[in-house]
Amino acid sequence: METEALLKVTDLHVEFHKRKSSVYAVNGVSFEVYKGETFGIVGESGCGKSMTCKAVLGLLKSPGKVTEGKILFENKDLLAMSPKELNRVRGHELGMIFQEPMTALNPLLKIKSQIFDALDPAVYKTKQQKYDRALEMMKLVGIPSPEVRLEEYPHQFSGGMRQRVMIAIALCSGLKMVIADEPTTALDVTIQDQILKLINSLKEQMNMSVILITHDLGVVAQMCDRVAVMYAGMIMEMTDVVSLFYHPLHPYTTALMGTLPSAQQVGRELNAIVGIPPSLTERIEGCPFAPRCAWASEICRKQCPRLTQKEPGHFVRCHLDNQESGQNGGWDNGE
Amino acid sequence: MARVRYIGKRMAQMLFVLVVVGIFIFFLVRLIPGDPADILMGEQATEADIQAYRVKMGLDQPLIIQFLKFAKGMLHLDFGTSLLYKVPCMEMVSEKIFVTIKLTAVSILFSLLLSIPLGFLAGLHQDKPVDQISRIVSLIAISMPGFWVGLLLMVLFCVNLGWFPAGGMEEGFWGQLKSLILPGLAQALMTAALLMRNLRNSVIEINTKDYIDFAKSKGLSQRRIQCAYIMKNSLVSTITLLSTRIAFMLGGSVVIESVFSLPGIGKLTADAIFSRDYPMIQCLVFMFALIVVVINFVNDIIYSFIDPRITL
Repeated sequence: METEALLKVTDLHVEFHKRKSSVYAVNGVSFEVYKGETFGIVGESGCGKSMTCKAVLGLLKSPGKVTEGKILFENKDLLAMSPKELNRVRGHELGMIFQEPMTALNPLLKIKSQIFDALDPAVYKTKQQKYDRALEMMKLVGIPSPEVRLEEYPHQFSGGMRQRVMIAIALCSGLKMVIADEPTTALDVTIQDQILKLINSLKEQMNMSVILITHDLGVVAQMCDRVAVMYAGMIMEMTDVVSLFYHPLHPYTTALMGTLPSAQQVGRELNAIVGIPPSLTERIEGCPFAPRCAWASEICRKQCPRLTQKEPGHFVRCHLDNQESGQNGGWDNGE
Repeated sequence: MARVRYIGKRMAQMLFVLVVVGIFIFFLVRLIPGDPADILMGEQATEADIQAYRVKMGLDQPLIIQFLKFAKGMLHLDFGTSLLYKVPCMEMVSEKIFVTIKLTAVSILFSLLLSIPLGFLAGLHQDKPVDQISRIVSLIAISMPGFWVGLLLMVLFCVNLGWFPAGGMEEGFWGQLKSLILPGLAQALMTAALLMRNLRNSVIEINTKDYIDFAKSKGLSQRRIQCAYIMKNSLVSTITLLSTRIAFMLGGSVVIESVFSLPGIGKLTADAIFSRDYPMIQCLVFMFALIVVVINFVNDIIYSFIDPRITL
């Protein structure tokens, strides 16, 4: 997998400054995504995973701003690009699948024109070429009778079908990388599985990289090659998916694993991590997970650990240097 | 095919509304205090004269008979003879209605020309100077009644500058346009301000929608997003507001036409009410209702073209 990095994010900071309040949403996130891999970003709501991806695509809304850091896509700095250059990359090389298929499609435009809009005018010049491509995409994402469906509006589709349409629109220009922001959270479980399989098969066919944002560890296990676990706007642990599940090093990751219900647990209360994530309205001193961590010591509260490579390809942001935390993270399983 | 059925259904509804309006008009007019024969014959008339007039105009008959006559006439758009002018009401109205329609058209044009660019600009530059200034201007415009704005405009452009006629309707296309600009502007101002605020708010709302982000992530140009996505989608609610404002404008024409002494049905309505000219009031109210219903109908049709989700 150690090939060329397609996307390289270095020390990304995203902050929201209003007159009276500030939010530090992303605090120094660095990661690389290689060609052809699926990179997962997991974390609780509000941990900054969506903000990271919005920053990559330049979709942050005012007053949100990237205050520090670099985002290189194929060695081109996305943050330094003019809007015109950025629009060449967006949609044609780098795209996004949104969480809510109900609200991410324009209700007043036919599916056909929404696909036409997204096609690279340099590649698809005539109406016929555009139409052929649109039809091809609709077939590719598995929509029955695509000729009819192209002429329809979003409200005439069911939730799962809309998500397929959105994928067709997002991928129609032949992307190198797609960011999928919780693509299945709004769907039924049975549909979820179909959509995930669809994303996987399209990834193979189109030879894309995928960044998958999710809070569902099951989805991570099914889809991802490598995973970053985010907490309070920082990456806490980043490694390949097998190590993450069998050999987690960060107490937060182990705690997350502890919350997964298992078959042996029938009839018992679900495990939860005690406490709540910190508020991001001020800069956090020390490790952001320290208040909830059973292993926290003096240094954890004073100084924020750095993301360091503890094993080859396995990055952890923690002061603890021993294996004991990895056993069960200080977690008693639901006693 | 679905659209044809939709239009058919809406037309049936329209007819029903007009019948109900007809019934209401007849009875409501007769609730206005004062007897038309008394008012029209003047102070000096004897009781016998007034009675003779009542018989002549059919005002002595039972209410139900009067209503049946009215209903029968209404089917032929015949509202009887005006008590005041002694000519058939429809003749009078059809002669003057075009002045009012032209006035309303000019007002609509002005409101759209003012509100769409400003509202769009203010919405896209939320809380920037453009937005702040337009907020203040629209507040002022909303607070000023049309007839007063009309008087101000008249003082400035007719009396001091002499650019426009101070009242009445001049001949020819340019003459008519010249006569309609000031009253049209006076009437448009409040509507323009309301439409502008409405458009601004819906632009801001649409701008936060996921599908705008999705469009950006597809690499669409700023221009395409603003025109095809934000503009079109935010106009939906503005069109609805405009159609209700047109009804207000027709009502407002009663005042504005009096201020600018335009020979439209607004002024005719004012005169008819003051003289308790029952047939004329009935005819006019019916025509107003007809116009409003037709405008609503047109609005629904336009709406169904813009927003595919609308069905009956």
